[in-house]
Amino acid sequence: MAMLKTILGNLLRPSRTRAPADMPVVPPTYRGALTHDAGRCTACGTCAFVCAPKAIHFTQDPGISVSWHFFIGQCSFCGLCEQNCPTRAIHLRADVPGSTNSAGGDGLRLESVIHLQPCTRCGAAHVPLPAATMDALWAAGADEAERGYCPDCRRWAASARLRTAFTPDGAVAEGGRHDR
Amino acid sequence: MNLIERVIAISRRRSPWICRLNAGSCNGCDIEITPLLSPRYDAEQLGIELHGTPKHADIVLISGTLTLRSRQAILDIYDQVPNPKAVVALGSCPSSGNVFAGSPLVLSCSLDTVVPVDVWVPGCPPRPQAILDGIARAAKLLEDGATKSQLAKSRLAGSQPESRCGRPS
Amino acid sequence: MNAVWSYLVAIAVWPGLLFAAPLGWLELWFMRKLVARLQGRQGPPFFQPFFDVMKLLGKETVIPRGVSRGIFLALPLVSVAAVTAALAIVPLPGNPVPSLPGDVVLLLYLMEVPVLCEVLAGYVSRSIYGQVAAMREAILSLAYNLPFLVAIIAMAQVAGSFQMRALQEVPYGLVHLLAAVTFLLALPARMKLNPFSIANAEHEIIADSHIEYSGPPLALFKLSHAIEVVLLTELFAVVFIPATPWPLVNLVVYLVAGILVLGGVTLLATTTARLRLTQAFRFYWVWGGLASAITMAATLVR
Repeated sequence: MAMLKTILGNLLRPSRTRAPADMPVVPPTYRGALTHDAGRCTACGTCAFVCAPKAIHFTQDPGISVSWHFFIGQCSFCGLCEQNCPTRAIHLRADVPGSTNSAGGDGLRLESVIHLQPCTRCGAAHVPLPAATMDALWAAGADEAERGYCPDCRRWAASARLRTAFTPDGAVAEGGRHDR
Repeated sequence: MNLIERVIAISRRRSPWICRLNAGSCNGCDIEITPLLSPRYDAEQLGIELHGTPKHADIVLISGTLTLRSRQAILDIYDQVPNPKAVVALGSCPSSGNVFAGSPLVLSCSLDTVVPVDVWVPGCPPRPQAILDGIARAAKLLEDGATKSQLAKSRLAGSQPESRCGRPS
Repeated sequence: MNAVWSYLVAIAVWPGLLFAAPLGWLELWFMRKLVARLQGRQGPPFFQPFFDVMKLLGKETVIPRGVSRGIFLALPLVSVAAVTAALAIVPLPGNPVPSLPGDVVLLLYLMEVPVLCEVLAGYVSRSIYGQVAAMREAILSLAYNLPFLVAIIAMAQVAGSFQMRALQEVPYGLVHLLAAVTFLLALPARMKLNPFSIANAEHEIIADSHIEYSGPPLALFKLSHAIEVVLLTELFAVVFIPATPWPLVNLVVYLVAGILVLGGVTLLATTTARLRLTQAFRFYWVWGGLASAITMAATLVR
C-alpha cells in the first residue's frame, strides 16, 4: 500500500525528467574538459610525469617551439596535472566534454604550442616565464632588462648581482658569457 | 516508396534501441548508463530502450578496455547486430586503454581497429548527459545513413577494419 | 461473394488490422506512458510504438545458423494472422462478420495460437534463453488458461450457446461479475505484465522467447502483441460490459472500458515485482481455481 501511495503521488506530481536540452548543471568542482594556457606553461614536464595514463606528452621543435599534447581518449580526469602544475597553466573546466565522431580528430587531441623566445642577452631560444611570475619577480622594476633573459642568463645575472654586492668596485667583466 | 523510406529513416532516429557491451570495463561507464533509465534522465523520452540481446539493438554501447579475450567477443556480438547499426564507445578506455594501456592482457589500441566506431563519448566515466548526447548523435547518424557500417555498405567496399591490433592475424 | 467480402473487411479493416494496429499502438503507448508517469518519469512520445515497429521493418533479419528458415519466418506471420482473425470474430459494433454458432470456440482456439507461436519461436531459435522463455511461457499458459477459459465458458453456459452474440445478450447478473473477476485474474499473465511477466523476464533471461528474432519478423511479433492487447481488452468489454441499444455509444463504452482495464492492469504491474514460476503456477491453480469454481457454481445455481 505504501508503494501505491508513492506511485500515485508520482502520477499527481509533474515528472522529474529533464529534457535533453535542459540537463542538470555539473558541480563547479567537476573535472571535465582540459584547457592549457600556453602563456603560462614553462614546459617543465610535471604534468606529463604525474599523468598515470600517459595522456600528456611534450614534443620539441628545437630552437622554435615546444608542443604540449593531450589525448582526451586516454585521460582519466584525475586532475593530478592541474594539482601539480606549478604555474597553473592546466585547468579542468567544469563542463562535460562533448561526444565526437572521430577519436583521432577534432576535440579529442589537443595541441598547444609554446613558442620559444630568444634571450635578449645571449640569444639562446628558451621558454619564457609566465607574465604573472615575471611580475612577481621583477615587481619593483629592479632590472627590467632581465625579463627577456634565458634561465642561464638569469642565473648569471643573479650571481653577478651577488658578486657586485661583495666587490663594490664592480670588477665584474661585462659580457662574460656562460657556457651553453 | 520514398515516403516509407523516409518514415523508416525517421523511426531509426526516434527509436534507437541500445545494447550494452562490457569489453573489460571497470564498471564505471556501465553504472553511468543506469541513470539514463532513471526518472531524472529518462532515456525513454528519446525512445531509447535498453535491450539485453544484440539482435534487437541498433546502437551498441561498448565500454572498457579491449582485452585479448574480449576482442573476439566484440566482433561476434557486433556481427549479430542487424544492419543498420551504430557503435558508441563510452569513456577513455575504448579509445586508448586509459590507465590499463600497456598491461600484458590489454590491447593498447583504439576500438576503431576492431569495429567501426561512430561516436566517441569522452569521460572517465562520462556523465549520463554525455552518454545521452552520444546516443542521440548516433541515432541522428542512423537517420542520415551516415554511420560507418552504413557508408561501408553503400560503397560496397569491404572496408571492415582489419583486426591487426595486438596480435598478428 | 458478399460473405467473403465481409470476412475480408473484418480481417483487414474493421475491426481487423487497419483499426487494431493503431489502436494497439495507442494502448501500448498508454501503458508505457502510464508506467513512466507512475515512476515519476516523462515517458515515451506518442508515436513511439509506431516508430518502433517501423524501425524494425527497416532492419535486416539475422537468421541463426541451424534454424529452419521456413518455421522461423512463418511463426510471426501465423501469430499476427491468428490474432487478427480472432479480433475479426469479436462482435464489436459495426463488425461485418455475422455471428456463427460456435465462434466462441474458434475465438478461444485462435487466442491460443500466438502463445503457441511464442513457445515454438523460443524452441526454434536454438538459443538457451529462448528455450527457457518458451518453457516458462508453456507452463504459464497451463496456469492462466484455467481462469481465462472458465470465465468465457461460464458465460457460454449461462447463455446456453457458444455464440458471441448470445454471450453479449445474456441479461446482466451475478455471473457477469464473478466471471469478470476471473477473467481479470488471468489478464496480467495473458498480457505478460509484471507479476506474471515470467516468460519475458528481461532481467533474468535477457528477453522473451523471440530473443533471436530481428527486423521485420520481430516487428510482426510486436504488432501481434499490440493486436493481442486490443483483442483482450475488447473481448473483456464485449463480454462483460452491458451493451446499450446504440452501437456508437457501445463502441465508445467498449474503448473506454478497454483503456480502464489496461490502466488497472498497468497499475498492478507497476506496484508489483515478478513472481517465480512456481508461485505464479500455484497462484493460478489455487486462487484462479477457486474463482473458477465459484463462477461455475454460480452458473449452476442460477
